[in-house]
Amino acid sequence: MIEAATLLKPSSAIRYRIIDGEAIVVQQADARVLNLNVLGSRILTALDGQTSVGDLVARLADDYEVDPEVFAADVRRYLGELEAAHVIEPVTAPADGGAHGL
Amino acid sequence: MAFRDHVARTWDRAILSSVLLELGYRCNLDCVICYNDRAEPGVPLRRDQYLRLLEDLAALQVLTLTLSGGEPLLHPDFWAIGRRARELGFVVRIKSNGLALGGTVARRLRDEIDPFIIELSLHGATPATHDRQTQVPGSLVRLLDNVAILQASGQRLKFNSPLTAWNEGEMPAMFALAASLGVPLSVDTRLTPRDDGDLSPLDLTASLAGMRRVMDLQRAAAASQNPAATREEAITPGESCHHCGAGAATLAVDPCGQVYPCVQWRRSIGSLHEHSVAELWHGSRELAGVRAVTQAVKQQFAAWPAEERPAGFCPALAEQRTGSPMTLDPEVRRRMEAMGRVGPTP
Repeated sequence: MIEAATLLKPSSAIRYRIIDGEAIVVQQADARVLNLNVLGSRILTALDGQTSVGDLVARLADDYEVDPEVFAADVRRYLGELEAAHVIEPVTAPADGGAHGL
Repeated sequence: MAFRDHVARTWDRAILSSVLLELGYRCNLDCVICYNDRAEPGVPLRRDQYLRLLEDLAALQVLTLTLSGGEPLLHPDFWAIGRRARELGFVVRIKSNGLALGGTVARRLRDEIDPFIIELSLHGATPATHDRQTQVPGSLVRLLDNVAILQASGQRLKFNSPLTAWNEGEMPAMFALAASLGVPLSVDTRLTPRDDGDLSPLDLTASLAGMRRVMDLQRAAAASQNPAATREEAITPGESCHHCGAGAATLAVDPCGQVYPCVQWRRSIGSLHEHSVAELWHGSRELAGVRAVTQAVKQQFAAWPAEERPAGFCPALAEQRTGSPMTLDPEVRRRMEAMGRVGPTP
């Protein structure tokens, strides 16, 4: 379930490049090639594992004149599709809950 | 946009998409049909130059990086280069003869480099033929042992085979062997001269009947193999103004840093000892000339009747054999003859 606090990153099983603002994504496992449009590519490249979905939506919404709630729902649905296609994956917290050091 | 249209876009707009690195010409086989010029003079690239090259290629949004040789695993910096390529997000292809890809090496490849595909050289279906061509006894047995190990570690594999007078009689068995292993087999029906111009590899050119048999086998294999196995082979570019991607979307780099439009076209466009790859890609007049040639070749063949257009024409090999990248060379004429086509007389 993708929520506002969810952290996502590009899957380690993909390779991608940005050409003219559009991502060409190669899935290592099955050799499928996907082409993301400009917005999809912006979303993919913004998923750095540290930016929450909520922050991502807020950042992107500034550039598009759309209803914020509709936009947020659209982005989350799109992220769900990318996750289902193994293009992105959630950042899993370390077993110790993220505490490091002594 | 379909991927084939993306490929055509890279050709038409000179977007560097695929680079092949010949890491060195050392090899643990001694194939009689090898095209490498092992005596090529020059100063090999250092590790720091390779790592900077990878950074530059990633910045240029190059997607595919092929590590080749010689035998690339014999290069002392193979692992460092491969690991950095993975970190920088390349689709990594490795062209190897497979001899060194045993147990621990296979696991290291998967864990450290995670290549998209490993392309292995298959020269025959029997040791008598494969080992004769590689001039290393036991090389087929070791290759097939390592295929099993690589498959057990989950690697995607492909066989590449040169068609020769020595192995043409085994081609049906080679296709059967590849199918039994679940590995796609790609056969190159033409041999090429060595990069120094030596024509001796052509002495092993297969017969017309052998070429026809391979074409039949290729059609049958394409019809029967599972889609996942053949998908990569099925990617052909969409409509483009270029005959091929040489110099328009591809580059090859030899062990001493000379940069070429592709692995076949040995027209140097400059040296990485003197220029960055970005400088060469954007500023080389030689490269602009190559792009103009591949456009002219496309226009030339577009004016020919469809039945006279040569299949598998390579401007680089044509230039090597005839002095002109526009002229049908003897090898492509033989291929056309095997296909029942006859092109215009030059």
